[in-house]
Amino acid sequence: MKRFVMVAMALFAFQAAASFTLFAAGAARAESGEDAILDLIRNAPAAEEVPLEDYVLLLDETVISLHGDGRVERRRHQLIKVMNEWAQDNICDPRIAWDTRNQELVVHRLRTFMNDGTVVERITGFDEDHNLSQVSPDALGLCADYLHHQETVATFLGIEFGCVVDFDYSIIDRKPRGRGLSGIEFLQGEALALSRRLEVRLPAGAGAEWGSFNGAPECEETKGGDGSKILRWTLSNTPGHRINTDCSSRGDFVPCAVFNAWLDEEAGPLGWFRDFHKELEDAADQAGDLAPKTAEIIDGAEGNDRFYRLHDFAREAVRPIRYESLLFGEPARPAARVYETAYASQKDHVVLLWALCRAAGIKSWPMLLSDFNVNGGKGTAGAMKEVLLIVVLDDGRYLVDPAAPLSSDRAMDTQSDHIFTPPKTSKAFNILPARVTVTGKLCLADDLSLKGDIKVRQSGPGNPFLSLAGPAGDRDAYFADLAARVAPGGKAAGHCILDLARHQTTYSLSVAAGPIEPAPNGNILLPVIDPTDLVRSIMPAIADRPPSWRACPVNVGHPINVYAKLTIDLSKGFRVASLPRTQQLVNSFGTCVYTWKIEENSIECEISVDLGKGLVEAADYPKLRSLLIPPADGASNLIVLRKKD
Amino acid sequence: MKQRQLRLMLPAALCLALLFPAAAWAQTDQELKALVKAAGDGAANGNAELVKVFDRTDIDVEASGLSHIRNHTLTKVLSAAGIRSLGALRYDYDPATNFIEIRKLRILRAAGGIEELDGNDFVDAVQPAHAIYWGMRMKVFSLPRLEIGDAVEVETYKKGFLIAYLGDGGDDERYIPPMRTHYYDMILFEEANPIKEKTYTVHTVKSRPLNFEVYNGECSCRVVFDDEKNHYTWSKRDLPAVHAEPRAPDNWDYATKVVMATVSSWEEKSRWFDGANKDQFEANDAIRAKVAEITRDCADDDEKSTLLLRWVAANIRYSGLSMGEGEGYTLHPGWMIFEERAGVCKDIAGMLITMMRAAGIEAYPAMTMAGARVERIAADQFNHCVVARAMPDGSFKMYDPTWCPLTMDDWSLAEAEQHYVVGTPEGETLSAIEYHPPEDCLIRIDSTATLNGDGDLEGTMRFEGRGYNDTWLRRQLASYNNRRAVRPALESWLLAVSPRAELVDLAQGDYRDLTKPVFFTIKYRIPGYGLVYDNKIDIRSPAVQILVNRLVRAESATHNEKRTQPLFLYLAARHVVEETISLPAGYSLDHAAAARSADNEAADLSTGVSVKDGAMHVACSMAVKKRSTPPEAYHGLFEVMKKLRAFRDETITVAR
Repeated sequence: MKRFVMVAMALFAFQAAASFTLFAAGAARAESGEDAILDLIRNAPAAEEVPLEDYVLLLDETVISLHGDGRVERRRHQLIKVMNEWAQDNICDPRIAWDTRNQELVVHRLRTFMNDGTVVERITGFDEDHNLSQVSPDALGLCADYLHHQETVATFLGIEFGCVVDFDYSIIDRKPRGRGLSGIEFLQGEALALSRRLEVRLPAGAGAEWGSFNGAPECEETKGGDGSKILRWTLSNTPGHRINTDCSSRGDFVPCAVFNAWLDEEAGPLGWFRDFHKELEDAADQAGDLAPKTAEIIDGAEGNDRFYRLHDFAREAVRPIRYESLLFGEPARPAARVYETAYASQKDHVVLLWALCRAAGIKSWPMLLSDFNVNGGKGTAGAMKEVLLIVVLDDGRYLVDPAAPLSSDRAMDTQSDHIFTPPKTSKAFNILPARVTVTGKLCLADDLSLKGDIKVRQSGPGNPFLSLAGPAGDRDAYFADLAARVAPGGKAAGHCILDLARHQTTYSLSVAAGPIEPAPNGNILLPVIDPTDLVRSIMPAIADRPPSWRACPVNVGHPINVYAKLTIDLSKGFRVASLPRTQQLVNSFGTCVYTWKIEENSIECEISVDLGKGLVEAADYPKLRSLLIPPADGASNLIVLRKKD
Repeated sequence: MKQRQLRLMLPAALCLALLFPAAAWAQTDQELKALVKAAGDGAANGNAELVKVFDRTDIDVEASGLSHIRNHTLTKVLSAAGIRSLGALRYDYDPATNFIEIRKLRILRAAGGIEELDGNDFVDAVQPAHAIYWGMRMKVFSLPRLEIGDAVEVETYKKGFLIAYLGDGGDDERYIPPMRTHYYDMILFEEANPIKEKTYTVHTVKSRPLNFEVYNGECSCRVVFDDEKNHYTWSKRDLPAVHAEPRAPDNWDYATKVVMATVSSWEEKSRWFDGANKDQFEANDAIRAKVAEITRDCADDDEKSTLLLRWVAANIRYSGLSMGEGEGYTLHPGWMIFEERAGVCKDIAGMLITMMRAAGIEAYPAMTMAGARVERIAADQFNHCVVARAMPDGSFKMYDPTWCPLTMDDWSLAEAEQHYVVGTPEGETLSAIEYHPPEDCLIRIDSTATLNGDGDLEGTMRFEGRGYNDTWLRRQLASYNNRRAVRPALESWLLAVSPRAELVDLAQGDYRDLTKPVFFTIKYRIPGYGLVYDNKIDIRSPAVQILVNRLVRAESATHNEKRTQPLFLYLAARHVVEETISLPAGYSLDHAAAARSADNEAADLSTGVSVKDGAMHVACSMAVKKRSTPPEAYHGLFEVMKKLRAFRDETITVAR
């Protein structure tokens, strides 16, 4: 095995790219760590000692250094014990994203300690980078302007259950990309971490602010004699956790360290934001022929309709791409170039729509969405995960995602504490409850056909009728789905009025369904029209058959209020054998009241759901779930009719 | 197998017709614009994003086998989505074995005018890749903004092949296929967007005539021989867009295709494959020691082979690095894979061959096609590599270490009926794995439950399988889900029965123990599961719901009455439920779901409900009989699934 040769070569490459100070620090750490590494491997837990772990991080060290010239180096060193098949399949080819034009990737160590003591670093006869493969990111495969963003796949060699992988690499800026350093680093992941350390190294004279959130340990600050400082977070035995796939803001619940440092004292902590704003403004200014195009698009339109047309145009004009590094790791492209190439990162898309709005005289500006609560105006670039546009229309300010339908506000109103628009935060974006009202009357005839009208009105945020502002095909599908809920085979004719100005949607449905086919045992089962379905559609986390567990909050974003009153008049030839249970569920999170009664030959159903919070902590999730598990599930707890004898 | 050589001698007059492609390449701009106009708009093309006005390929094959490929396309934009998707052009190539350049790139504007673009104005980058990291590259062109009605004309020149081949010097040497002097290809006509004209022309040297055959449809074909070359042209017009139906096989099995090869027989291909790889299976001391360790208690070669297969399947993970020269068709040497503990299918197969040979077992590599059939023309129609063990009677026993992690069988039954060619010095013909009946891939639920007078249900369900379904159950516990996700994943099975279902306990066998089928048992309860009324309770079988909703692979793909493409489920399988539900005291059966049965060439079904000694017994057995159900047999499967769903949905009434 050629371990020492490889380390020396890697360090040589590192030295060429970094300052001597950094090289010395890195070399010292690598050398002094060898005994500790072997010790960690010797004392690593066996698979049976940690039955819930697919792999264990024996060591997870991250060192982020800001140099005096503005360059940043990020070094990551992990020692991972592989326990089982899942880990073998899923973690042994990690990808490192980096910008080949402006950064350098240096792999210091990539080796595997096998169970018999063999250390595999390279394959006989091959170079040490044989198992480092550069690939283009999937998202950027057709984006010529962004193909300098690449991913390096590190293929771990010699993997077997119980082996330990030692992976140590740095990404080093070749030139400054900003006037500081900022970030959010999560200190808990899916696997048990026996030892985890985060260091942020700042040069003399740098200003900085930092914090620990969601149970992360306090930062330990060390000052050097030259005025430099090291911020250090240290954890041991951090348990792994499984995060639900729909957790969008990890910063709200995963222990994390947040930091923001700046080199330019005059610019101060928000210099990065002013730079960002200026960058987008300059890009929007470079609009080329988009000004006459804008005039053409809004020709004949008035009021808010002018913006709706521009938004539709921006959505149709480009292929949206999402790649995390493009938000702050790449300058905004000019609006004209974005339009020309027909693809857009989220930042590009904002630039395009902003350019159109400016050309149309519609007041607008970009805003950022943070991965955690920005807490009254403080924010760091590294914690921002999305850029969107604020647009001022006739009746207020709206948050707009240029790639999403206007009817889909993605619960933005409801994450107002994540919106970053310095110098003020978004107090104007009040958290309003989503109100859904359902009223209707249906008649069941002797021939078991069902007819009637239902009206649904939604106001406030939320996305219960996501397709109604979209293409006609989607709308028809939505009507068909609603009709099918009323009665199998049912058809519906409906219309929808989307009143964006009042953020209100009204939907009228005429239903003609049936005849309903009696079950083989003679029961006539009337499907329950359950307006809590609408609640579930607003809350993806509990949309369909929600699981019993939850490791992160449900971020609905806003309170929800649903009221439904439906009457079903029965022909006199039928009697009611069973109704869904009348029940009142109350807990600290809200109330759900389901009332079913028979008045002469009418069934009256009244349902009221009042959920008072927009963000439900994981610990409260069972309460939320208990309120919203459907009162009827299609198999039991139904309306059962029988023909009168 | 003796291949029939297809030759069609044509009168000299028809030679002029062969000039059509060449003439077409020289069309004037006015003629091109007329073609673009005639291609119609979105409405005339089924609301497609794009329409290919033409797609013409001309391939000249040298005596060495080196091919020069010219392609000429004209593509019209029909919608905003078409603008977005045609805004960038991407051309993939492997720098080790082929070369590509753009010789013409123009936009024919709908508003008039033609824009000439620079074919060298591209970004060259590594292709996106997952699991196979062979350094394949791409050239990406950003086009100027397109508008609806614009058309993009591209002429490319390429030489070489699309998979990696040997190269040992000279400028063009690396582009020459390793099976020197030979040529093969497969043409697929229909694509995701409509095509007005597709033409494919191949010129081979006199000594290398092509065997070819057209499958899955028709196209026109012409063959002419002159003093120097053989000329073949296949073409088709007005091709509709083709989109895969749910669970369709690879489109090679249903779109019109031409398979061609100058190789005259599979035996020849087999000998070449053996020759190209015969030096890759040398064991070193470390491998020999591992083989000795694995096989030390084995009674015979069967046992040795099985244990070696299991070791390779468990220890050589799927992740492919390039070994440089020879990558793509040459198996990596056994010693290399033993060190890496990673490779793609050919390398994993090579590891097993190396270990088998080290154990004194005669074994060879074999080429196979996972997901589609192999036609009888000896063209390279393979995407997978496996192992053939030579048996004393002259037959081969097949092993697939890539598909066999956590599998009791030596061959994954998800690969039944698959075609293969073994590479041997003598040469082997095309063969196929035998058919496996549904019982070989049984999956069953044994369910017991108790219903009370309030409609509450609690019980246990035990899941066990055979063949591939045993593997599938093991992977639920081992690799499809991480450790923390296993319980939520199985809870989701219960939630499909009722949103109020609660998973009380989960017990499981050892998924790594391949000596007996694995099992897992779910203990559950569902408050208010039964519908209570008039001294009666209606329920549905919870086990049948899980069976249909989660375990029957055909479920999601059998809701349409007709198909035009085969339904490809990978395996024939039988699904069984045996369920006993104890009833509340004093209750008896009032109404049972009607017994349903069916038996046809694609599927069978048998269901029944009975009550005895205060307990209700539900029995259901359903089989999908074919790995790939052709469209003409699909109706039988559709009818069986319809009845099975009806049985799932029908309530059973018990009364006091």
